[in-house]
Amino acid sequence: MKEIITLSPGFSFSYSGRENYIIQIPKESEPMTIEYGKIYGIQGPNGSGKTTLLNVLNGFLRPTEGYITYYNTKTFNISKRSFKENVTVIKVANFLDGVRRLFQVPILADDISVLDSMLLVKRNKLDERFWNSFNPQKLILRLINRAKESDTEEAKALLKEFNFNDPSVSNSTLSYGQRRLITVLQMIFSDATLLLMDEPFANIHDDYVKKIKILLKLYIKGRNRSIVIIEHDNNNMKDFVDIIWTLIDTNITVKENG
Amino acid sequence: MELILSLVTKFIIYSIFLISLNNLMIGKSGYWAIGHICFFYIGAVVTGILSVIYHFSASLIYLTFFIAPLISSVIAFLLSVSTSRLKGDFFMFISISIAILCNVAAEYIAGPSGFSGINRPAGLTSDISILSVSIVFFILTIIYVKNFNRHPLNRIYSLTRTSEKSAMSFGINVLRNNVKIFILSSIIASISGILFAFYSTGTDPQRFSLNEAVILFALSIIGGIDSIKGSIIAAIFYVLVIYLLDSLFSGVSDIYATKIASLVFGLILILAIKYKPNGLFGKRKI
Repeated sequence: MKEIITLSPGFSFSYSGRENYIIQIPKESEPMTIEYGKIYGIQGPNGSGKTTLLNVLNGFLRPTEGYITYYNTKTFNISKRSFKENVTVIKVANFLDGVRRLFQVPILADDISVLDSMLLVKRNKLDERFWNSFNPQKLILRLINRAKESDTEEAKALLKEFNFNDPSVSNSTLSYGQRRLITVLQMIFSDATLLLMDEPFANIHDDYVKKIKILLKLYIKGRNRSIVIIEHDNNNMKDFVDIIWTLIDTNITVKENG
Repeated sequence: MELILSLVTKFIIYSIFLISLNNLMIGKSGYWAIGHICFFYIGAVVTGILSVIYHFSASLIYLTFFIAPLISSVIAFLLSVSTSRLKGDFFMFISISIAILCNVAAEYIAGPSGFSGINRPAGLTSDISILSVSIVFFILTIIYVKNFNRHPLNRIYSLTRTSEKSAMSFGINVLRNNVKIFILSSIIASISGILFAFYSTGTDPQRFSLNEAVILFALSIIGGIDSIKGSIIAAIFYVLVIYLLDSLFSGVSDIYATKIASLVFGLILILAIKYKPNGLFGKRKI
């Protein structure tokens, strides 16, 4: 099994009431797949639906026609919007350590530290047990944080590489560019199979962009992982991406890079 | 001496309630739950029902420590699931109407003047013993909340408050986490209600009105959202101001006391928002 996500031929999405603005895969073409070990780039003019496509892959929006397959299980087949279905869709699309999403506007909780927001991406199921917080501090830490100690060190090292020398500083003190950088570092630090990144290199210093590219290449190298990015800059596309999806005139065309 | 004892006991009981409201309910979930006082009410009224209507004996009445939290957690579960799609102002309206609903329901059950003559449980008949039990609960709650703040769950809740969508894309089950915090805070609030019923051996409906709910909510904002110090200061404030106004206007009329109380608290709230937008000890803006 090589595919993480498959979009069937005839897949389409449009916001209700805007039927002429749609993204679709022609019925006669091959299914569009996201395979392990590859980096995908989404290209297209403003308003062509790049972010919408990411939202569909993420499970926030459901296709109007056709279906999406996650790990060979057909998850949903459109039409009726019941609340229960919606919840399961999101659950399947965002299974723990399955998909991580980088939003275009960086979303960071203001009242926690930079280090905490890094650790947030590597989640342990034990973290969410309430009785853990009833035990005396040392006992729980010894139980659940044995693996976490190395995580903390790793996160600190990564932050230091990007000049965040004090990881205990609060997120609210960061500038916009720094916030973007932190959200990108979150992606690199996570264990997710699939990273969906909306313009990861925007608002980030050129030297850092180079570093991030190397780290992302390392992220998927030899592991069952892949990355989808949206990027405007053609230079970034050329030397980084394996396969380019272009959204023009509502159709998605797939092309190997190079 | 008796006066100090009564004030300290009330202060401890209201601290437990305010911690459950301020540090768990508003602080973690970000829901502006004005009607949180209904769980306090449920704790007190269930104790009243068991003691006055069903005549539970002094040793059996201990069961209220299981029954009342159970009932309030069931109600909290239903509430959190049914209001899971409401946020911000809309949730506040629902919350206010729930507080009113609880008030009406309790008036129906207990009568307009509330229950009186609630049995104290065996071994807890003196005021001092009630105070010491309250202090035990108070310390347990503080330990719990302090651990919670250092716990990985804390950052999960911070992200959920900032953006539910982002939390979902991190694989966080937002609905389940909200249900958990609702239930947890309702249990603590109902325990403070039970203690209050045992202490005052009655359920004075004036202490549970919407007026009171708004005042307690406003005070916890003045103290500072998600700060334990802030909750404790708010409790001290509440108990002292209510006592002062009660003793000043005891000859005149009870109605004046509550009206002037809300006037005083309103003034304090305006000043607090003007000069201390984070509350006295809070780190977060209102």
